[in-house]
Amino acid sequence: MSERARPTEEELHAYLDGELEEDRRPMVESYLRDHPKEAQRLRAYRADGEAIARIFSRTGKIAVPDSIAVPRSDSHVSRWHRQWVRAAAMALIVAGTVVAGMAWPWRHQAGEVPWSRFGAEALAAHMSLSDANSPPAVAASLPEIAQFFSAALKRRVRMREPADADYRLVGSRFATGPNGRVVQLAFLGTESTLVTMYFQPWPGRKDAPFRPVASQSNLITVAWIDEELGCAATATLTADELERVARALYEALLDS
Amino acid sequence: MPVANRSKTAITLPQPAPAPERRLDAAIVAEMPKLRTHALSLLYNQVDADDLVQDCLEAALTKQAMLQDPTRLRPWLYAILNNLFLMRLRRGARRGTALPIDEFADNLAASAAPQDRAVAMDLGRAMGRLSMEHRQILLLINLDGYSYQDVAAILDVPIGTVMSRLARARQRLRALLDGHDLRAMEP
Repeated sequence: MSERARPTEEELHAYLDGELEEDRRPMVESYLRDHPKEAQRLRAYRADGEAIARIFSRTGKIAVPDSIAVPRSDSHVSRWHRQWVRAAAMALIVAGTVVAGMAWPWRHQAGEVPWSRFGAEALAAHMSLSDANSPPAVAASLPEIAQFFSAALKRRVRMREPADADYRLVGSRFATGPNGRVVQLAFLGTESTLVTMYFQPWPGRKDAPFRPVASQSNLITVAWIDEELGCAATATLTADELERVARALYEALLDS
Repeated sequence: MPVANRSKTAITLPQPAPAPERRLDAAIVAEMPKLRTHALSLLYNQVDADDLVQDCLEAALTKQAMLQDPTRLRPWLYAILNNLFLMRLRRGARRGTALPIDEFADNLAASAAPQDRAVAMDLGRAMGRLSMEHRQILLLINLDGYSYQDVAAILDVPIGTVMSRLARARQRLRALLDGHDLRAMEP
């Protein structure tokens, strides 16, 4: 093969990526047949590329090393705690922007429950935590949350950690939503299914049954109101299954 | 505390037809996990990656009227991410800060399939030793699956630069995986 027919390095890579012009391909194929070491080098590059795609696509599933997991101590503010707070801020910024448009149809209907807006807030908050292998830090204890609900709803609310073996509480936090303070709880299932529950006190609102209020890809959010407490649950489950899980967790969380 | 009344029938709420801007908001939010995976793979640091993605989403939601072709949403978001990343580099936010390469590689291996763990460890370390520029182009081509033309648009460089940068990045990565110390060669 003459030097004139020798492909450039860039042409070899373009051939590898299927980006080489049609009329240059026979020349490259001929060159690779005549130069098995070059063909082997290209195969190695292809294997490296496939490994990058396969392995780095899992970075969202990187586990929290035990050595830096956050203990349940208010005095210990680690980077995982900061991550939880940062994720919360991100969720609220996104939710705030998304729901600004969604809430528009209800602007003159003060008596109506803004289900879409509430669902979008809960969904966006969930999406910022969708890495089920990275449990968020515990930023608020259940007694603190119960105290907040009690003050907001002007009745005594007691909470306890659910003993449900299928889902365990992995995170809880306060955040500031468009209408004041909200609470988000995160539960991790035995099959790494992340279920988040999003609560907003809604004084004056009547009870409302479970209903799907938002969805994104395979995520779904169901919401309901119970004794002036707005609740939304989000997970990659069917609406019926999510309602069942949310009902069980809610009953286990809140004392009568 | 009693649970809210349960509706036994399947519930479908009548929803107003989504306005185009509302659909775009949702589409931008839906890209968040992909952007986060890219940012984390680029920066090797979860906090920095989340900061970058948050800034990107804020910018995208604010500037969405500038997106002329909604079918080009993803590369548009990556271009915003890249611009923000370059601004951070220029501000020197990451200058002089060593990447937690071994920690990230350990975590990458732990998250990989059992048969991939050794490869993930080596690859995580080698990718961490590449320049940001080289790691970025390998991720855009291999992880995100962009064409040369898309990468040129995202990075705002000529397509010839994409091709030569990619060739050098692959050579250096392979050399590192073969055990050659390229520290002196890395910019």
